[in-house]
Amino acid sequence: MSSKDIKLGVSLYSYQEAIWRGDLDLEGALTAVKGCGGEGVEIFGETLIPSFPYVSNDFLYKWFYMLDNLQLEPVCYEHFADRRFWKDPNRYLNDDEVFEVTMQYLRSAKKLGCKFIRLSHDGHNGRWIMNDEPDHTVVNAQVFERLLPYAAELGVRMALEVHGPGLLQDGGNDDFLEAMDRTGHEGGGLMLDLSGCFRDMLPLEINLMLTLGAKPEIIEYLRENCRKAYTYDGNNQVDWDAVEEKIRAMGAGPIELGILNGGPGSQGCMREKLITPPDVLEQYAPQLIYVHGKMHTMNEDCTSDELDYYRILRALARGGYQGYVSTEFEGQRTVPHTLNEVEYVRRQHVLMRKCLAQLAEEGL
Amino acid sequence: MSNMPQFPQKEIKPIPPAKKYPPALLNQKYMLPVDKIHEVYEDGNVVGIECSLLISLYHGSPLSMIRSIKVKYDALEYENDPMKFTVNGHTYNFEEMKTMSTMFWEYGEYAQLFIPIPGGVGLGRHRLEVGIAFNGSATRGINHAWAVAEINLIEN
Repeated sequence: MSSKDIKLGVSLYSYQEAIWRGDLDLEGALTAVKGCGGEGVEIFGETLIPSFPYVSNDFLYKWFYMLDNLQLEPVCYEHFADRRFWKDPNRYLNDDEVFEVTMQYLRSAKKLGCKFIRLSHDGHNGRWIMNDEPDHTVVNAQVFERLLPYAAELGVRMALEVHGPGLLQDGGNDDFLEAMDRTGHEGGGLMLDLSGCFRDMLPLEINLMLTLGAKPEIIEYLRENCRKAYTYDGNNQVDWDAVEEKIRAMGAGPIELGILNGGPGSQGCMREKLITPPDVLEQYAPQLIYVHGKMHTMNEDCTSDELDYYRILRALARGGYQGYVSTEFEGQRTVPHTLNEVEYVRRQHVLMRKCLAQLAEEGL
Repeated sequence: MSNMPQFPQKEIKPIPPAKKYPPALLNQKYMLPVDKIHEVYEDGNVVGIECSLLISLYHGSPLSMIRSIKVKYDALEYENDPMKFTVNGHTYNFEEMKTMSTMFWEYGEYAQLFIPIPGGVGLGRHRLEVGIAFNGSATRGINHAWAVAEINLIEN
């Protein structure tokens, strides 16, 4: 186990606005990845490959030419399994059709030189499904099991991304992992999205609460205590009853109290924020095949409120994770067209490289 | 026999009612550029307006996954037909688009929407609102976004 086994990459999702406006094309985005020091790249076919769902030879030539020039490695190809592919609800895709759609993604990933596809699967949010519509299912465990031998043969693994509010440890991917154990095929593996480790409120949540009338000073006080409670630095005990007393004295109303205690229609509460702490992450690290470095914001001095990167990377290194941590910048979706995506990705890479260097100095 | 997949046995985490949330803001600013709205003429008469739209998702989409496009031009409201949608130089109506799973609205490329306006569009200020809803990808429900443009039509 070593921090040297952890490499840094970027998902081109991070530059979505610049690509959408036409400020960056594929070559520009790859150059930005190299510019921030990244070594690997994740690509969306739907966004950047004109011949999608297929990969033309023309595109392949340009793709490998650019990657060779910039000394970048293709790592992951994003997958979607939209059951509601046709407008007619009686014509939603069945399991056989989802199987075929995913096979095309696997073949495309192989052509692009990618090691993984980030699978859109039923365990994406762990034990949760985010609405109660029957057509919510994407790739279920049965389709996954059918795909395993083909993925193994192609040498492309299906990364089972666990994204917040789901957690690695909540059992929501057990049926997928059992399918792998049962068949013995190495066509898949667990993938972590760091949104499951966030210690702070998301910018989108903060904006929403402020829009609904929460007082900014109370939000800041709650966030300060949230970061303290969920950093797990040995000094993370917070007396939430005292926090509630303090915010009531500050004039907290139902919105602020709802953030702290939860309430009707809320998705959890700050008192019992369910995240994957570093010690649990360390246990799962050997099983992980890929990590998305989800990021909504970075401070100007390249520090982060939302994650303690040192602890996260130390847990991965100690646990023996070998692979990429690919930046997935999502902050632009909170404040569209105001953030410089290239700059935010750069800041995260500065911080992650600093943490990895510190771990190397400590002998890890 | 239904081809609906078996409902997965996981815990449901219902999303709070949409009305509590502000409207989706993603990409609104560039979605409906004012300088790409123009009148459409037939036999010398104005029959409607055409606007250019950028897709409101973070990736391209097959036309069959466009759930609906709603337009409000001043007091006139439309949903889907009789509007016409042009992508990659090909024009379709919304009935045709229901099954067009291999024609894509590419990410970052403009599509054109023709809005028929009986009796002409009239000079002066007008307000155009466009809302687009897609069948969701990944684990989301319906992706929707809307954009507003204020235009001022003057005589040549």
